[in-house]
Amino acid sequence: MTVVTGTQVPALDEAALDEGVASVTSSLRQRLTEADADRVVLLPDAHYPFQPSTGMVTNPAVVGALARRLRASMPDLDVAVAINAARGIDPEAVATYLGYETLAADLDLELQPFSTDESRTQIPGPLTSGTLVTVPSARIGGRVAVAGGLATLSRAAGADPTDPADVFATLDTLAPAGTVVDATYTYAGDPHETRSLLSGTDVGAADLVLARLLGVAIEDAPLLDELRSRYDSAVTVTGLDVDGIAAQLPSGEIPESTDPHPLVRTGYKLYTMVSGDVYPPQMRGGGE
Amino acid sequence: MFGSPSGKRTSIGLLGVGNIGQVHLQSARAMDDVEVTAAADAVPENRAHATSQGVDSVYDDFETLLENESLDAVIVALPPFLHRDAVELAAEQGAHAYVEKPFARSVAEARELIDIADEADVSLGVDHTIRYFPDVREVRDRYRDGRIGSVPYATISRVNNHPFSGPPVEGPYPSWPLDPDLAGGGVLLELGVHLLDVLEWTFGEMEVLDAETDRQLEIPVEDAATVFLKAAETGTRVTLHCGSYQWEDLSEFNMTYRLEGATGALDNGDYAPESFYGNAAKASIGNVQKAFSGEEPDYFAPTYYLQAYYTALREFVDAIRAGEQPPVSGAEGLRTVQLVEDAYDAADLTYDRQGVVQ
Repeated sequence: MTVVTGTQVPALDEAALDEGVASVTSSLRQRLTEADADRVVLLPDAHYPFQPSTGMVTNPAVVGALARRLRASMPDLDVAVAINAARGIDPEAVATYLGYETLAADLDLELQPFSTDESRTQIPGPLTSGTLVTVPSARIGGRVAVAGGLATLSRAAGADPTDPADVFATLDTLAPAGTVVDATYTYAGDPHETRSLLSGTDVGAADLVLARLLGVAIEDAPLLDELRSRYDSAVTVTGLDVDGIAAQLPSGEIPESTDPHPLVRTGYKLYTMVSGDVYPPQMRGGGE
Repeated sequence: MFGSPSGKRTSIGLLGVGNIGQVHLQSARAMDDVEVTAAADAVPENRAHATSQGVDSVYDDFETLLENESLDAVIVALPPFLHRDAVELAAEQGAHAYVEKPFARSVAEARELIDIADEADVSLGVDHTIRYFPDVREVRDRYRDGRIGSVPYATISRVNNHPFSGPPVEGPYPSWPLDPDLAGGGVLLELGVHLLDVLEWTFGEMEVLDAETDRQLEIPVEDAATVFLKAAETGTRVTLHCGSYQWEDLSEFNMTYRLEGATGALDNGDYAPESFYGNAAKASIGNVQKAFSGEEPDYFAPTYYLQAYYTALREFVDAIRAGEQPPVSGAEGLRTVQLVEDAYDAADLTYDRQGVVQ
């Protein structure tokens, strides 16, 4: 039986987050202690400078709470935060804009902004510079259905997060000690202040619970389907009414590309030919 | 003093073929009396777009364009830090300039632009497009007609997500708007100038009473600003808010303009289309009907908001062809920058702008 521990915090201030993180991370901290880890690398979802209240990135306040809690348990532990942005986005700028630079200075953390090696010739250094802990956001993720710990890890390593074989190979290689899912704000078609945290030593199990929380249909996502078959039904959640929260969350899709659909573009071009009007550049789309 | 010879097409050089430059290009192409003879952009894809739209001479920098082309006017659709050099080089060859907002990064720089134009005997126009939005124009015209009596209080706001995007992430964002040295400031200078222009266009000279700025992310410039103003002539108090923190897509334009008058209120929302898509369908049908009856279309009408860009450029071109001062002149551009500086002072916000004339 794999256990994922959750909690709903009464507020999003530092004291409440510290207490919440402490209550869900006992198994993670035990694993780190048993492994005699001297350096931990926290890997949040920092793919773009979205405001944390949108639920589209990890709330840096949760990363800060986790760092404080780990340091409280293991005073000699080096804690680093690895910041991996989306393709073409400057990770150092994202680290600054999301407040990780300030957080690192305040808590004496090492900040490791890095870009994914798209050629996949090597795993980015920050991912192997210590014991990994994923700290994903809690959001639906378009192609990957749920942008949880596995997707965050795979993207950072340059793996295909939609390919179960690639994802599990990455998981085996990087062997994270566990995960803390930041569901303080969730995004399931719209943002929601969910004020929840999930944690465990099994990243896949936590992702499965996250999918349930977000109301994602597992059958529609190959990775989730694979996770379900691997765990059968042997994942238990304690401390959080996942289904109750799920019922309160918005239900929707990730916003579509701002590129107009090709049929819309064709229709508009036809209209301009007939009417003599001009074609708006905003209708060009990225692929044209 | 002003003007291109009437009877021939006005030759225009487009300096910057990015997002807004492409709108200007399409607008200019729709004008029978205008020819976009040259364009310049540092980005190869933007140059390729200009070529695909029939621009004969395309350059990778505006300096080379202005050395090689003889033009009646230029459209300066470049980031603010390039406005001065572009206007100066254009003025040296006697070309009028239609400058994107913000007109300049500082009042001192704005004055330099005006001096350069005056000395070269060319005119300056500023692209303050929002005053051309039909719903905003309706509010202003009704107020000016005395339809709600005197107006003790008004509010105006505009919020978008520049330079970031909403999800899904589709590529990098431009970095210059986040650099106070290159942009001159944050959202107040980038977006607030439009609102300040609308206010002075409506009420006459405005005075900043107080201001506050804020940041939702740890970015180098403000992404929210709230300014309290007073109209010198009418005594109207105005609360202005602008922000760059809110997701906005193609079909949205988050702008409010509301005047509280003695006999009622004027609200731009009452004059804007209820549905972007409904308006698009209706405007498209209208333009097709116009085509069948041999009339010119209402350009960009299905997009609603873009039609203002066409009208603004049209009025600039009409003015220089007639040898008249453009309707939104450099002096008005300077006023908006002055009000931004006053608001920054009121908010105790100071940027270290090494490369900006102070």
